Amino acid sequence: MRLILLRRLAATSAIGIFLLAGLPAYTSRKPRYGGTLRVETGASVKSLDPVSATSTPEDSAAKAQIDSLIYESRDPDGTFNGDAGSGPFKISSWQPGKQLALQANEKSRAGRPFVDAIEVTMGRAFRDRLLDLELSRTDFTGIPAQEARHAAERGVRVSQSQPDELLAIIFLDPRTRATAAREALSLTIDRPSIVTFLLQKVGEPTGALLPQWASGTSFLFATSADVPRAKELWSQITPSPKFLLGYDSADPLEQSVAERIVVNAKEAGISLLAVAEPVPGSALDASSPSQKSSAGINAMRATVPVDARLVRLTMTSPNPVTALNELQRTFNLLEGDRTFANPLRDSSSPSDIYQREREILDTYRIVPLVWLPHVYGLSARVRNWIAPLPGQSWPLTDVWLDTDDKSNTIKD
Amino acid sequence: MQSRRRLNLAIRLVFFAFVAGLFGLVPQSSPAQATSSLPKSWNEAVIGLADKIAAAVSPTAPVALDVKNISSLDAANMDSIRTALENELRRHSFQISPANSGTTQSAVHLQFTLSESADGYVWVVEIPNNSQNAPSTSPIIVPVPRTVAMEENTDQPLLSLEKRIVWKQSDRFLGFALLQGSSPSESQLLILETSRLAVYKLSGSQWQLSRTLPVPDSSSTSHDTAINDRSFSLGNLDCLFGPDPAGNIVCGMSRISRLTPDRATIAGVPTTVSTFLQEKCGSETMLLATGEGDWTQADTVQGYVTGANSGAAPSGASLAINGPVMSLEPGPATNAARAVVHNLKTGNYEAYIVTATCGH
Repeated sequence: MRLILLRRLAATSAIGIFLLAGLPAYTSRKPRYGGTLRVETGASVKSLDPVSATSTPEDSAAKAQIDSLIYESRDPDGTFNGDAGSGPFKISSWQPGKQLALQANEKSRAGRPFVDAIEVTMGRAFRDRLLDLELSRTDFTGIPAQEARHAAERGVRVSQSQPDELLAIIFLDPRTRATAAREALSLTIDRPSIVTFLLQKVGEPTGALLPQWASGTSFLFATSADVPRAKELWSQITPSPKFLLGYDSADPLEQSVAERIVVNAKEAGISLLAVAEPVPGSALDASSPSQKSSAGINAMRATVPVDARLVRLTMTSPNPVTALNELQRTFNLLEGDRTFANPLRDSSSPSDIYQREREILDTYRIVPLVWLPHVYGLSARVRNWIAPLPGQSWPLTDVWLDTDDKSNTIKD
Repeated sequence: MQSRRRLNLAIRLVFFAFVAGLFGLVPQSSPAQATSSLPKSWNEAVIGLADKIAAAVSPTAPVALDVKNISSLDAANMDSIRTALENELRRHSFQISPANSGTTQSAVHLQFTLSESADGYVWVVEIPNNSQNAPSTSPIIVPVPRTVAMEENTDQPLLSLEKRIVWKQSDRFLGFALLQGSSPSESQLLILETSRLAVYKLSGSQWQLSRTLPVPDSSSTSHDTAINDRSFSLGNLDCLFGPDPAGNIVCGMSRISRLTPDRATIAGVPTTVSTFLQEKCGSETMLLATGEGDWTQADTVQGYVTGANSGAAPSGASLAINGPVMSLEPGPATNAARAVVHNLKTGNYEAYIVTATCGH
């Protein structure tokens, strides 16, 4: 029997059979339900209560990610809504600081996740996590930006976000040092070398408070060193001050950057000493509002007598106005300073944003160095992974596991 | 002989110049013509930049534009924008110094950067200081929307899309068809599920189940399904159910495999679920295509128009859909398509009619 479909009839009509044959009538690969996603982290989360404090920024960031899986939603101020288990996953077992097992919530209002379960193993050193990725013993883990290239060379599937974490120097008490002194120190720093050698070309050198992809004007802020000008400025300051630059002793990237800055400063005759600070908190909380960040800076300042500190500031929104206002709030909370009291309006133009950045940077209270991406290592069976934008959580409710694919050569 | 050759050459040059001018091979000096090829908002940005440059720079010295593109704009667009800005500057009595000319060294070099932010394009002109001691001049920064040229050009067709929900149910279905009767009560809705064809008839304003017909097993996938008023295809099966879907369903193996992977793609259209519409928009064919997410994400339907050349361009705003579009087929009207959507918020499967209206 000859069966004729409308689809084919249509093909012979006005459009023609070539066009119908050209229809790309398929979607991406069909997702699969099931499987257990294995996650490893270096953090050791002791409590999943959203209001409980954590001891390190890494713990804080990991807790926020886990809370986003078990709570229904989150407000812009960082508050989680609903009860634990109201989100896409429910807790099935929990050993504080060690192991967490989550089970898919069939009744989640956002829809059932694709994976049946997530197992989170905590307190794993980076080397162990990398080895587990190579041996397919885990599916997902965070990778320090400076290790991204090394991991990729070892065959690990690596995914990078847009650069959304700013490594910068913040001068804790600007009144004790002249602006010219801070400017001179800023002019000695060879940012491109930091990215090329210390970060293995991951990240972008910057002189701006917003990354290029967000503002479009980051390129207007110089990133190259100007040692002659630095020397000239420094020679005008008498007596020559001596700077103490603090860094988080648990952060190898901060340590290497601080030591590089010391070398740069010496080339211009500037006296700078890098000081390892054992106090956690110099890396500002990625997921929490600025109050926590500035509180972290102040808490450390009370205990460690440094002039400046290397900090990591994570964007909380991809919107440049929101991100800059957040940074400005952090600034204003320091010392009760209200230098930039008025936040930018939502309708601010790129020109307004640039001008505000310029005003803040001209104080030399903050010296941007590098915009870093968040880097993730994934097993080959993880599908539908999209690196989150600033303010977004890991999209573990959307990923699914391709159990047939044993390949480990997929690159994002 | 030699002088005659020179004369011939001169005549040829004059003739070539005439022909070249006739066909637009010589760069146009008319500002209006040069900028008319850009979208309206881009033109406005160019005019704004030129006005601000004129306010900051004296036209007594020639200016040279050093253009750098760090955005996603292509080279053709970059050239058009550069030409447009040069023409606008000429309107402000600036003398444009061409590259590699003798006046370039004495010219004021304006660094024109085509950049891009999270919100759109950002065009920046940096003006050099006149002297070492002069305060630095703020760059001129203009935001520019990421507008597809076609959307703002009134000569081009513009598709507007609307969706209307027809049916929803918690059980998955693969396709649907609306059969118009002579009166509303004679209209029928066919819902093709994985194991049955459900026939609904209008009762008042509600569809009531009239009958169901079993569907033979098939190696079907939901995105390899088609249905109309007399037949449907399901994977490797082609089935007929007659003018009145009350009798038996007769199925046979399809003669044409719809699972062949070597479907041609259309330049400018994502390789997602898509369908052509029978009705044309002016002289151009209309096409609807879904977004590039997968089945875990909300989706969109975007209208495209295809011209005489191969390829298509997006036209009008996309239509937001609450979940992935599982299938998209033409009909029931010539400017409409039927979409089966898996609503991610409710979990229901929903049938929509997406109608494309052609405008300018």
